[in-house]
Amino acid sequence: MIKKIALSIILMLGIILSNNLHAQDEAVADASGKKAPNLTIVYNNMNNQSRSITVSLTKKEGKKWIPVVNLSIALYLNSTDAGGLLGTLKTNERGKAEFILNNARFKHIKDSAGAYQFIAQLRNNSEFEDTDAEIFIKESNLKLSLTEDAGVKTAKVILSEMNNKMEWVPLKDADVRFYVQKTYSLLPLSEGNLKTDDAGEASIEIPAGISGDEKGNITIVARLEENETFGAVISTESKGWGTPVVFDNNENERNLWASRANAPLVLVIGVNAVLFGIWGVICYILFLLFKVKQLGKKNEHQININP
Amino acid sequence: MENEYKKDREKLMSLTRELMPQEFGRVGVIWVTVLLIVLGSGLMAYIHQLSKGLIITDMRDYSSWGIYISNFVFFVAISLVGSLISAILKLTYAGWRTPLTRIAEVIAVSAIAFAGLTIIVDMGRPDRIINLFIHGRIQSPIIWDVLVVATYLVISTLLLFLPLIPDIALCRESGINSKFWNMKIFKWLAMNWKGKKSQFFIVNKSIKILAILIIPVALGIHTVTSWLFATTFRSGWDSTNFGAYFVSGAFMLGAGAVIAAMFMIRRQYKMEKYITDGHFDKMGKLLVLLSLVYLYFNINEYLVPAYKMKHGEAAHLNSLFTGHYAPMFWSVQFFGMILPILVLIFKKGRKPLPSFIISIMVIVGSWFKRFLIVTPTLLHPFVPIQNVPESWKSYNPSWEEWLIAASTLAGACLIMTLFIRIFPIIPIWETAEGNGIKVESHDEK
Repeated sequence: MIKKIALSIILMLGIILSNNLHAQDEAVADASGKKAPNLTIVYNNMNNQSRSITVSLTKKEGKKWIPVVNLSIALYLNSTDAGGLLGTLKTNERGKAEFILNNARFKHIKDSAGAYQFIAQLRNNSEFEDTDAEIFIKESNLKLSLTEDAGVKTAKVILSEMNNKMEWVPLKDADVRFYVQKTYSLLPLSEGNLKTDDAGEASIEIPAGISGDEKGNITIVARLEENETFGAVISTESKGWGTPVVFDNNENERNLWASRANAPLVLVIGVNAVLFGIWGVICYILFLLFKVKQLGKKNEHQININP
Repeated sequence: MENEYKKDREKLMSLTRELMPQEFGRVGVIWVTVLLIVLGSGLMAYIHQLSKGLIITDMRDYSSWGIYISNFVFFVAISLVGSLISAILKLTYAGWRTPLTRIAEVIAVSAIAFAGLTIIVDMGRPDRIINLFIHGRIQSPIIWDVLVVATYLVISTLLLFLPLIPDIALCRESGINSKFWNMKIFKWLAMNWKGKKSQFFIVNKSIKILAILIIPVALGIHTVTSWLFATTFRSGWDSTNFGAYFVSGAFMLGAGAVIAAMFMIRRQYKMEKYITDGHFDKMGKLLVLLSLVYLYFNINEYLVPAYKMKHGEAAHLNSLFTGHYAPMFWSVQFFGMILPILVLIFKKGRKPLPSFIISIMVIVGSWFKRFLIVTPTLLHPFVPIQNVPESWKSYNPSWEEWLIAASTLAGACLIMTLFIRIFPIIPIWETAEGNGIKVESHDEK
């Protein structure tokens, strides 16, 4: 009996506690009733050429973070005054907004050796409290080269950063990883990250048998894995090192298993010939029926209904 | 000459009065009421299915075809009797078939109409049926089946209607129940029939053309239905014999259905003069022959694979021979095939009552035979069933499925019953011709 009561109390406590925990999950609103969203900011450097900022905004509902759609976020460079405003972004259906850094102001600043600061601000929203997110980024250079020696295919990166003297110097012990670009995702070429050596270099042998496009081209992607100081730095290069893919064109040829439009001609003609043949006879019978009716209309005065 | 003509007309009218449709007796009223109740209940169940979807059935990923498809195959099979009696026996000059032709044709038309309806019942979204025609692939046996079912329905209806025209005109002429027969619909259906030689010539010619045409179409309809199964690589269906196997089974079922209908019509409407013991004797012999042919195909379909007992097919065959479906399988084989042969092979067995009892066994056995063709195979795929709810591994039709399937059977029976109530079920002019009475009008110049 005591055991049963103890078990009941434990169960009840469990239920109450789980409810409280759930309540804590929901308790993200401040005193004004506004919720605290999650605002993140990522710096992207693609092939040392195009640079961009990606801002993500999510809110918590129950135990899930879901995207906040169609909300304005101001993006600043170095200071949050009017002079530092890069632009105002609007989140898309995935709660993300991207800003391409190609204005003259940014180019001027990126040449300096020091880090620069990006600040994203959410202000004056009726649902969410004012929120800031910021990152400090230093410029880096990720150079990818593809070489082949005695049949061995190698992808190599040289990673460097700009020092105080405005010179590019090797960046050692940084995490980089190599991938092959596939249609919907990246195929990793190593199990984990590789570390750059003293010369800022890391390399990997490209295995044979990777399927490429129709010409056998594959795109190697080298990535400085999301780094607090340098952001997401990516470099890509294409080469005909893959196995050419032969696309199965059966669907576009006339086959039993092809689409409706590509049915075998013999079948189309055969089935239609049979159908037209049979329905032709049926139409002829209907014509004969009509004739029977017409014959009955003639000489009506001669018909003897009752014997 | 004139006197002879008048005598023939009198005889014809007397025969017409004798074979005119009769009102329902007490049994007839009860029969129709029961059919209407079953039909109505099935309709309610179908409305429930329409609103909730096919989830109310027990059909799931593996047993994706259930008793609806068994019922469909049963209807298609039974409809073949139209071609057997109206066409094959006509073209072989079997004169005794005359009183049975209309019975066979009305069975064929009502069965094939409900075969089409059963396919719609089996569709989760019947409102999308038009897509079958818009997007259907000519490579698919399902499309062939849709085409051949529609074609067979039209030909069977014409084959039922054409010999009926002179009889409708005769009923109108008879003066009996004239208020009923003067309705516009009968006037239209009589097609201005005056019994002219030229009209008879056209009707006879049309019937002959249709009798020839319906044979390949009838063979086609059930062969194509068998291909719905045989073109699929599954144990129990992967057979090159399936077309002939299905057609022979259909003829056997059709013959059984005609015997059952003959017995009930003869008993209810006192038609002993027209549907004689001789007809039961001949139909009984025909049923023995057809049962033997079907038994032959059954031996091929089951014993040959059982002799080999291929690994992939063993589970299916064992479920039939000794497993879950064994009681049904052996009952169908014995009561639906072997016993009919053993009973009907003797003259006494071909008397009306034994023939009727045997024919009911054949019909019931044939329905369950279709179930055995469809369901056990689906529940024994080559790749083992894994990681699915336990209930998906078996198939026990829901009450809605039973009710809907029963209502389609009731619906087909109701069409036949109402037809017999409205139209003469024994062809009048063909019977008259058989009795040497001239049926052509004397008036044509």
